[in-house]
Amino acid sequence: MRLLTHNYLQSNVKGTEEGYPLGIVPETVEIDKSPVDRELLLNILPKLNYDAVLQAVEQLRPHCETLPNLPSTLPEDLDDELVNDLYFVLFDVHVKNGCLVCPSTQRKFPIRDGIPNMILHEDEI
Amino acid sequence: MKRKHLESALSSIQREFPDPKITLEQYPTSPSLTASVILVALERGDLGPGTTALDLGCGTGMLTLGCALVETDLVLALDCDPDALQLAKENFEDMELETAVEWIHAQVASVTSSTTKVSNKSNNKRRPPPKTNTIQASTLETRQLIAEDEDGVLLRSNCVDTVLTNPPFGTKQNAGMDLRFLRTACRLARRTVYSFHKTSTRAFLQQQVTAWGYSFHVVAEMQFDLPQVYKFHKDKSRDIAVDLIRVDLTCTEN
Repeated sequence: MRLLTHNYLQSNVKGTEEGYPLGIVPETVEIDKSPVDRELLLNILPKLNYDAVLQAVEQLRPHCETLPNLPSTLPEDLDDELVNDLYFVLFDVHVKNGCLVCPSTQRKFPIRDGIPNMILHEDEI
Repeated sequence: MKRKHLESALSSIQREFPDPKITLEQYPTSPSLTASVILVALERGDLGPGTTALDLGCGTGMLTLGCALVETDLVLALDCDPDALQLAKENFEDMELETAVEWIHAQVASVTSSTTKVSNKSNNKRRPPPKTNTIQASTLETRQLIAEDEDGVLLRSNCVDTVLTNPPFGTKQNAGMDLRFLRTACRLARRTVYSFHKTSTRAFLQQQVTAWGYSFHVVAEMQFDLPQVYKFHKDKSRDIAVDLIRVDLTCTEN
């Protein structure tokens, strides 16, 4: 599961006050370096919640020393280094195993082999 | 991307469900049908570079792969069956494409459990209405209601540009499932939804989608040749008249 996907996941399970962003508790994190596509990154950035990206990065940091430091707000123009860092964090970091945690109910959603399991139980719908 | 190339790439994968599950109405979308939808969407700028997409009920991943083959920026693929997801993931990995494809194990809540959960809340704390003053207030309100649906899919509303889906048509236990899929698709997409529905339900669907505040048109009329997937089917294959529809989520007229 890339941080891109994490950015779009939100819990609206019955009884959830604010289910975004989900916390990440990583067990296995893999890095798969790919060529940076600047245009793609610039296209996708406005479609993301940047604060959630920052939060996710910090939660992965203990597991993944190579994670870059990102600015707390995005500048108007992004220099190459920042583009590379953002691209890396969003596309190249994969949480293979671990879980996602709802900030409101603490409900855990397991991640196995890179796939988050968001299936709700009967009493949660 | 030429149709021939697209179809041939899609034909090369393992697309049969190893053990199709009757209640989920599992059957693979054909390479030809997939290529048709993908190319129409590509031509309209709904897929390809600069866009993000989601395949709702991806099965073995035909539509997902189609999106990836035309270099969509990001493709999310969702299915409730872990076996199908696994096969789709393997199919994608075999193709060695650069496109970022992400797999999510999730389920669109069934009609019986979710009919009462379709939102009727009137205030929305999370998302402000779209910034335009040309959309009628009532249309905005209906669209906001959809944004609040508790449909079992734990993704933010309007998270992708385009949603594609080949939904279950709904057998006796599951009637209305295709409408449920369509509504969830309209919630998740910000720009457009492509979906398949029995031609016989067209008028009803038009009415529903219009009531939700969106505009809808039939892109193509097709014949679905449902193969004898399940042992109890008497005929070798069954032809059903099916509409490929496109819902425009950006249109301001009802």
